[in-house]
Amino acid sequence: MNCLLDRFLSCKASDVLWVAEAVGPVNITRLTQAFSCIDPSGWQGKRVAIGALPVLEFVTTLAFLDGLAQAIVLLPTEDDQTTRESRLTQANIDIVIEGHGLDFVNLLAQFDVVAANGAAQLVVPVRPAGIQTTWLLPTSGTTGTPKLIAHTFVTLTRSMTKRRIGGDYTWGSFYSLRRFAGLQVFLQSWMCGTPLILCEEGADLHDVLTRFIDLGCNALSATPSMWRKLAMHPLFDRLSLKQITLGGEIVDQSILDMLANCFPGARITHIYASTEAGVGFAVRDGIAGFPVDYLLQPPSGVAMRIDGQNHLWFGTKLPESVAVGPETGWIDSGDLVEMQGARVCFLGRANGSINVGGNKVMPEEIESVIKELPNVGFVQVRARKSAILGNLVEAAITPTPGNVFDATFKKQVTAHCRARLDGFKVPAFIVAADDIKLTASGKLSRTDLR
Amino acid sequence: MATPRDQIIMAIQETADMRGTEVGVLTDETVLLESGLDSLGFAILVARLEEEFGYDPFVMMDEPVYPSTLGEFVAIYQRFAPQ
Repeated sequence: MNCLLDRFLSCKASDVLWVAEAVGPVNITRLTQAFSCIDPSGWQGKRVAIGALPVLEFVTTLAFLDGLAQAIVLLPTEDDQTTRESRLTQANIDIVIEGHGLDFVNLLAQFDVVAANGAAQLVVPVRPAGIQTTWLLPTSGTTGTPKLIAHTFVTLTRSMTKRRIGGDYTWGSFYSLRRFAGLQVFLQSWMCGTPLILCEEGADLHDVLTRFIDLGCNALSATPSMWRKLAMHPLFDRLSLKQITLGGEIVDQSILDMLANCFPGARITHIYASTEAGVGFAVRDGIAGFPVDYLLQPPSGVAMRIDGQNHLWFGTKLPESVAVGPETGWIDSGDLVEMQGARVCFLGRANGSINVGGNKVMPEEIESVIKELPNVGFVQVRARKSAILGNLVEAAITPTPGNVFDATFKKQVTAHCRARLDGFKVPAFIVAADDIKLTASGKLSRTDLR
Repeated sequence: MATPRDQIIMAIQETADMRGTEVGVLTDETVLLESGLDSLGFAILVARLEEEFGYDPFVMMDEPVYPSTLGEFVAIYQRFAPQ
């Protein structure tokens, strides 16, 4: 397979691709009918940027353009004007698609899903021979200057399961699909022939969960922060999950245990992926970190090594990237790791440490210790300026529902940290966090750390 | 009403408590770094007091002053108190 539409050769005309609020289930027949209304020649070889679009329009556009356009840039919707323009120039863009886009939503609405479900013949749309479209993906920007990383359909799906799983699973889209992690969910469900429930970006969590429950969603992928946020929602227990995927942030033991307890029998996968290196691998044994053996026997062909500064490096096979020049050989992931027995564990981002009087403190390490307490729902560790030592450690905590943030709670957190951490790592300040702010890619925002 | 001196003593006790150290009886002559606070504890104390009083004299002073006793420490807070 070289492009998205190639999968049509190996699936059934009635396979449901997406369930969208506006038009209900979209199967392959319905999609090809919509495609046949648009002349592909105008898009052939073009360099296209995709801005803000309704989610159904967005995925339909991706399926339409892959193999047709020369390059696709997924513009982050939160970009300011300057960043946006610099991305457009950098990627040499001909056309920006936004607003209603090509109005696929309207076209899809015109074709009746009931008719398509019957004996309708699959009409493969007439298109020029597929080319290898370059996908330019923005990095999350949590760690400095945002970049565009070049991928292709092949590099994006390299480590994915390609066997047909079909209707046993129904995935929910929880991430922004224009980000690396969300794109992985979109592509994985596409590759396996499993329906994906689409949700608009920024939709109310209560509405999203209600939809997932009503539509029988049994597979979800989210960051550990998003899972914690979900777990604090009253509807969380009503989800019935068979597949749980975590990635994008450090996956610690407490979150793995919590999910295993809530959903006994579910397969829990934690994924380590690097947009920069264009690689990723999955761990399924329910233990934080990954086996040391992976350094010798790389999973799915992803070679790894650890340097003298404890940075994790990847062997990469990325095509030439417009943003960062040719990348072959090894690439620094920027993640700090530590060998703990037979596991390699993640400590945090190398450039994300807090300097307390000359001592380097990784916020993720302290967060992970605080999260061991069962009454802690959410915690973010950050720097607080100090005239004396440069920085002090501050922990902002949301207790789990039913627990109060009071002096006793604070004392308990302090005592736990003191028992588990060096003195300079124990939060000097413990404050209540009223609102949990996650970035567009579902991660704890760390921009105020430095 | 608690005087600034009382508030400072209370903050020292709370900081030591949080750090898991003991402070003895505090008088004006007590040497701060012998009171049970190390340099980290001292930094935490100053940050706490900034929260309580709304200012940090150690940021405001032009010439750095290093108080060694509790009496000197309290005097610095009184000198830089907003009028």
